[in-house]
Amino acid sequence: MLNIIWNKKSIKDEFGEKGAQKLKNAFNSVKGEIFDTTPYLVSEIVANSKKDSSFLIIGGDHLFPFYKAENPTRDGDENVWTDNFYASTDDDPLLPERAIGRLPDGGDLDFLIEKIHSIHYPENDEIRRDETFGLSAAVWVESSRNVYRVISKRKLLASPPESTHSIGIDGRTDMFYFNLHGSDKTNKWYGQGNGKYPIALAPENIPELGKAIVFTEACYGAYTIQKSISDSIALTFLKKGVRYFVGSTTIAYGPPVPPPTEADLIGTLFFKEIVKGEKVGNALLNAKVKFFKEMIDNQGFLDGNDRKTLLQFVLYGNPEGRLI
Amino acid sequence: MKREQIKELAINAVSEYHPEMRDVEPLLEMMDTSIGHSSFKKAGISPQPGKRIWVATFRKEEITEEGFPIEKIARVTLDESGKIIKISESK
Repeated sequence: MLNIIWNKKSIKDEFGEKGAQKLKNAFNSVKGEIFDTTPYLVSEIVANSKKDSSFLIIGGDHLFPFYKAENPTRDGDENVWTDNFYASTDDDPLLPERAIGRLPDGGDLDFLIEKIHSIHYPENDEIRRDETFGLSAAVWVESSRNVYRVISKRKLLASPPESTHSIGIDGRTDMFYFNLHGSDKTNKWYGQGNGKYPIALAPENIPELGKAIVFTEACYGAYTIQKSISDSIALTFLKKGVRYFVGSTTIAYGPPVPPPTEADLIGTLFFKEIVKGEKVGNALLNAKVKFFKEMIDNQGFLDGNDRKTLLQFVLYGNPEGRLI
Repeated sequence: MKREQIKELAINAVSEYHPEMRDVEPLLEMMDTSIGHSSFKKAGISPQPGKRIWVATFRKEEITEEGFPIEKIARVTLDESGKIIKISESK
């Protein structure tokens, strides 16, 4: 059961009464229960929901703020923006208990309505496993191959030598995997190799796409706060047709070499769930729970990076969606 | 193990993958890994006691091809005895 979470007042403040009405009308096409609520009251709705319920937050941070969790690492991020809190029945945001996704708006109401309409259509689409695209910073190719091979037998591209000038993305691509550098200050992702940091991906590289899914490990890969669509690779992917985008809101971490930990591990676990045919929201939820268990089993504890990984990865898209 | 010895171990470990960070002075912290029981309950496993670990954080600015500064962060996690548990780097 899908539960739509929105705050009419903030939509009205941003887009006016007409805008709020337009958005409300868009909900008519969606099967699910609609809640006009505030961030403080979501936990109560979640606590009263069934375990297999899922939640979809409408709008970016200015319309329905991310929960600002304390940063468990002293790495410069003031806090960690997360939606885990809104999918928990208690006030501990580390592990969510329900599937949750969000539709960011990029300051564009029509874009948001377009994304709401897209979830009305059947979400089941075949994964054409040959239509995948994987791009990694050259220094992480060994680690990235372990993640990418869960979804593809195709060659993983590396940057350098690849760069924004050389890569060509096929519009028929269904699944994307990126392990690149990112920043909250630019709309580009970067490779790394031989002491160089070439631009690996820019919004201009993204063609019109079908119902694709993206997983990125880039720092700030899902950072959309105060970003317009063209200011953000995440929002550009969604604008170009991507249905599901999973990435980090803050600085993300991974190992220099296998075995997979942190972002590499959450990516591996997420893709395994997707390939099994799990709903996208459940895939991220299950990946987080498995990540927690695996780190306790292997390491005996979760350090700050592990906790941050659990908090920072968010889903943009309908959590009820499924690729089979 | 003394703080200075832990720092030395962390610098040696990070230098293996990031020779450019050899001269970076790390921020060294002793941390408690305790987690609230609710997370264990959510994961369906028995609560584990927290441990005391060392974490050394190295930060260095790098410049992208377009001349834009990005910060590279490497973190080394060690147990109380100085055993390297994990090396991580920012994406």
